Amino acid sequence: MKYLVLLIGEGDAGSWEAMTPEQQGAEMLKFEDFGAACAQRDGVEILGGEALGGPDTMTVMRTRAGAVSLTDGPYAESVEQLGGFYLVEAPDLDTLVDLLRLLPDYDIQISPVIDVDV
Amino acid sequence: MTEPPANLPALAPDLPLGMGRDHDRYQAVGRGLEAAALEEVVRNDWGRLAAVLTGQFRRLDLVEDALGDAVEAAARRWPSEGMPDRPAAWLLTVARRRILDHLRSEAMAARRRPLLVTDAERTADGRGVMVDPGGLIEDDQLRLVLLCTHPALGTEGGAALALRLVLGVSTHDIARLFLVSEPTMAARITRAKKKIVAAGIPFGIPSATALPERLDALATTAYLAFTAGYAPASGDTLMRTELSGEAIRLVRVGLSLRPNEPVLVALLALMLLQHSRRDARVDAEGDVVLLPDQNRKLWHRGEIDEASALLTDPALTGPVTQQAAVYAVQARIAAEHALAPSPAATR
Repeated sequence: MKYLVLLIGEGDAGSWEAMTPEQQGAEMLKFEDFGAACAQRDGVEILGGEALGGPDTMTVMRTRAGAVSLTDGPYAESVEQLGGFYLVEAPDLDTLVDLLRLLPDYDIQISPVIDVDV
Repeated sequence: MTEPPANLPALAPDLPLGMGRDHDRYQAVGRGLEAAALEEVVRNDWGRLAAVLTGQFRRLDLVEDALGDAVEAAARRWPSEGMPDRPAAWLLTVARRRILDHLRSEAMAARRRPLLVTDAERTADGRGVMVDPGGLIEDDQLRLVLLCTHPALGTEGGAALALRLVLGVSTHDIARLFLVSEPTMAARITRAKKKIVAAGIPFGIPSATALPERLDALATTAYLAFTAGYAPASGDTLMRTELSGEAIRLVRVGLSLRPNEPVLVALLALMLLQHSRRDARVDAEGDVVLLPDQNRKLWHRGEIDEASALLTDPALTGPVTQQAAVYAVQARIAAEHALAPSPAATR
C-alpha cells in the first residue's frame, strides 16, 4: 500500500525555532535514521517527501462559482500546520507506524493513498 | 466490494445466537437439542473459526457474513438432518464454501480470475476440515483479537467489532449494549471493517515495541464494552448487565492467548469484582442500591474469589504499564470492599 504521511504538529518535539543548533542537528539525524530504516525494511520505500515552508509562505486557493480567490496563509485556523510530508510504500499500517517512531515526536496524520478509477 | 452478496439473508446471522431478538420465542416454543448445541458451538468456537477464515482468506469483510450464513444454515438443517459429528468443522466448511463462492463471483464480475481464488481453493482443498487446532490457530486468534481492537479503529468501533467477530455476539445485542439502534450499530461495524481494509491494518502479530500498547488497547476496548453495560438507561437493565459479561469473555480470550499479561490479569480482576455485585445493584423496583445497602449474599462469591487470586498473580509484581497499574489499584480497592463482611468492617 501507499501512504501519505503528514507531519502536522510539533507535538512533543517542540518548536524548531526554539531549538539550539545542536538540538536541530540531533532532530535532523532522526530523519536520516528513518530514511535508513525504511531502505532496510522489506517492502518499504520512501517514494517522496519534502519539508514545507511555514504558514507565512502558504497560499490557499478556493474556487467559488467559477471565480478563483487566493488568500494568504494556511487553510485551517489551527496553530498546527503541515510542516512536511512523506509518500511511503509500506506493506501495512503497523509496519509504517513502527518506522515512524524513529522520527521526532511530531503529531502525524497517516492517509492511505487510494486508486481512483477514471 | 466490501458489501455482502445480495443473496445473503440480511437478518440471518443474528438469528440463532441465543440472546438475540428471537431468544424469547425460541424459549417459548421449546428449542430442540440441535438449537441448544448450535448456540453452544457459536459461543465457544465462533472466534476460533473467524480467526481461521481470516487467516486463510485475509478478507475480514467476508468472514462475518460467511460465518453468519453457516450458522443460519445449521439452524435450518441440523434439526432435520441431525447433528454433524464435528459441528465446528461443519460450520467452517460451509463458511469457507460461502467465501469461495463470493470470491468466484467477484472474479467473474471483474472478468478475470485473480490468483487469489485459485490459491484459496488450493488451500481449502488441501486442508479439508479443521483437524487439530494447533498453535498456528491460536496465533490467528490473537491476530484477530488485536486486529479488532486496533487503536486506529477507535475504541467504540473496535469494541463492537471485537464482540461481533471474536465472540459472535449478535449485532442486535451489541446495539442494545451501547444503547444505539441496530442499523446504527451495523453501520459502525461495517465502517470498522472498511477502515481495516482501507487503512491497511494488518492481520499480524505486532512488533515487540508495539505489543504492550496493543494489549493496552485491547484492555481499553474490552473495558469500554464492559462499562457500556452498566451505563444508566431506562429499562432493560438486567439484560444489558448480562451483555457486559461478554466483555469479560473478551478479556478471557485475550488471556488464554497471552497468559500472565499484566494489563489483562488486572483488568479481569477488576471486571469480575464489579460484575460480582450485579444482582445486588438494583432492587425489585429497578432502583440502584448503593454499596453499603447491598445484600452481600447476592454477590457472586466465586467471581470475588477468582479476582482475589488474580490479584496475587506474580505478573502484577513486576514492571507493568501505567494502565495495568491503574486497573490493579482499582481492583485492589474493589477487593477490599468485596471481601469485607460488612460495610463497617471495610478496611
